[in-house]
Amino acid sequence: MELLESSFVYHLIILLFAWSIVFSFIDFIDTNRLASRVAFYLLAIVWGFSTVLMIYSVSQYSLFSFITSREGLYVYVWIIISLSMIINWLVKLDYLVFFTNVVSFLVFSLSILIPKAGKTATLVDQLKSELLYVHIGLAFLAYGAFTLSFIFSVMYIFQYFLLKKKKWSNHLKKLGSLGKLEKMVNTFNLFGVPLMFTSLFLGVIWASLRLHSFVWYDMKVLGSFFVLIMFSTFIYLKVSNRLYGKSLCLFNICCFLVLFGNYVVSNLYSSFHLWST
Amino acid sequence: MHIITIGLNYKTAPIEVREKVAFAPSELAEAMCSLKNEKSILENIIVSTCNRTEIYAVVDQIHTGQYYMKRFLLQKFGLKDEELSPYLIIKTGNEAIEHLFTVSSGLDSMVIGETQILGQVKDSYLLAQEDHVIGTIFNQLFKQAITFAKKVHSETGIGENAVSVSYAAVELSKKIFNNLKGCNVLIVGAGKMSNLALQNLYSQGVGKVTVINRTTENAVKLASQFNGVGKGLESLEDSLKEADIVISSTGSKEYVITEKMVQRIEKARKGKPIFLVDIAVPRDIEPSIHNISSAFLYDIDDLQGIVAENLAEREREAVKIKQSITEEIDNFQSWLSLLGVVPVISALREKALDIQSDTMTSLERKLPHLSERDLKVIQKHTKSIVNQLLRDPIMKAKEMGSSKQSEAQIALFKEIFKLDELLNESNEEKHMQTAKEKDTLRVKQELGYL
Repeated sequence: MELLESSFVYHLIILLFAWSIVFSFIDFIDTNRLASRVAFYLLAIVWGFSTVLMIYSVSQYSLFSFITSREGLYVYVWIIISLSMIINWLVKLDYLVFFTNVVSFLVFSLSILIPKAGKTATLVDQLKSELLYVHIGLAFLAYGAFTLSFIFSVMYIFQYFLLKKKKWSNHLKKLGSLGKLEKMVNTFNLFGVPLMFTSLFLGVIWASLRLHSFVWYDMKVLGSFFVLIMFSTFIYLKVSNRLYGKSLCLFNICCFLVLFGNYVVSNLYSSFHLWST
Repeated sequence: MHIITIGLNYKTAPIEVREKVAFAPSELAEAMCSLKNEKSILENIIVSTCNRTEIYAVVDQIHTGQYYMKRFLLQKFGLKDEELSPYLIIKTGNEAIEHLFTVSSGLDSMVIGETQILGQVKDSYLLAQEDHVIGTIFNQLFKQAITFAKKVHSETGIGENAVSVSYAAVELSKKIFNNLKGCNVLIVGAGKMSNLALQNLYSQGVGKVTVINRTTENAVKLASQFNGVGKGLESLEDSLKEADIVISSTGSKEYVITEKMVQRIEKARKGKPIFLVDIAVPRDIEPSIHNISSAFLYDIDDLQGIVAENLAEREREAVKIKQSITEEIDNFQSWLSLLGVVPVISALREKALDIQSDTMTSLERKLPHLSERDLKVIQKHTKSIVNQLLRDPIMKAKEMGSSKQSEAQIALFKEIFKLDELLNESNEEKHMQTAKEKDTLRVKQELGYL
């Protein structure tokens, strides 16, 4: 990845990403279909380049090129973009590209601030395990699903506010129906929870087998289980019809903020993921 | 060659005149064919809808063409000049082209941005193409106008938003519910307005329909038209528990649906969103219901506000579109000017190839010992000389065609290469052919073949 970061393509990705945000912002402010289309195509190019870079990186180094906090964020961004593009293709939802772009770009920028982690040969040897690959892969997917569910929740609250204020604007016309947005929130959480559960389960098995000192009360472990409980509660509230619409979406936003907080805090105060420090 | 449009529309003529000057769809083909036989008219397309009847034509002389087009309308509909002339609009040149672009994009329609007119223009164009009443110019112009209109509709969404109160209510419900097909509709009141609102919602394929009215009989009567259930006013609270969309339009002077009532059913509804539309004056639904988290209440003023906003939005888009029409006219004009150069270029090429051919004949006569292969090689090379020599002048001629002083420049070009004679010959040939075609057509008509 270090090699790639200095490459022309890497800089081109950042540039295209920024332009994609500019165009989707123009569309958001002024309802410009051409700008919306350009933003989507630019994002597609960004996705294409990122995919090529990832494949190249894996073929040159190993899957472990992506398990540090810094590089893991690239994969996370790639997953969010992939999912948003698939949804945009399957169910036409205006502004999804804009919101995804903003979140992805923030994460992308965040990744630049995180210092590079060194990977010694011993560490790589210690980490080599298929169980760990699956643990990390599933965690990435779960995080991607929760992020999209968060984006849809924000869109829901935005649309709800416009309908309540009776603001018949272009935003109201272009944002999807409350019903559709709520459905997307639920669907992504329904995918995310089992993925995260499996990921944590496999992570625990791997840690018990490979690590000599597995600490249950580590901030990372506790935080991750707390996040899982939060999202499981969301599913329970939804299925048992205890929460609906706005309240459910607000609860989901809280869940995501906890997830985000857990990520930041555990990176600062936990050394459990020994490769990420 | 000139482009003219002549006709009337809802802006210039009242319905009494419009209904007299309208072509039935089955008459259009015949009308366009007979118009083509009129003097001076080279190409024509008739667009006839309930709001407009317009003839677009390519004519060789403006006044003659105009006269015959008007005479055609008078004769066709059996009107006197004073009955039609005050309502006619006549546009020529760029104004006529602009008018076509404006009409096809729906900017000249009663409801700005509607797309029905585009389909009607397209149908007329296809019919004209089928009946060979149009040639190169209208083929290009109408194709360009239709493509432009399609682009405008897809890129600006000018025709997307509701411009009537009842559709505004449907649009709003689509912003709350994922799919109207599963939605339960509750109509309070069984009057005319309720019927209209229900018709619009029913056409969207809504789920269960319930009609509540003070007189149960009327409720049952209205509900039966939409496969629904009719009930008395005492069932209102129970019906509200199941409803997703509520439309109220009674003559009551007090609130029919109160905040307390909605609060009471909240538990049973478990926070499911409810969309309430109050189209009654005085209002039927207590306004404070909108403060309940899951309730969205819109009254007639809110809906009218939406319609006004949509219309204003369409107007704003129309201004933007009109600006791009100028660009389209320029594009068409440059294509048209190039079209004028085409015969000049053909004549130049023809002249050069004639010279080359004469030279070859002379060579064959003077050098009889040359083999067939030798002749072929010489033929190839002399043609190559001709082509290379002509490349630059042809390119220059194309540039001249699109310049501002194109006429003078092309005249000079023709003089330099002495092309007038050749061009006159080919024009005469064309005229002879057209006259022959027209004669044949006339004879066929007289004999009853057409």
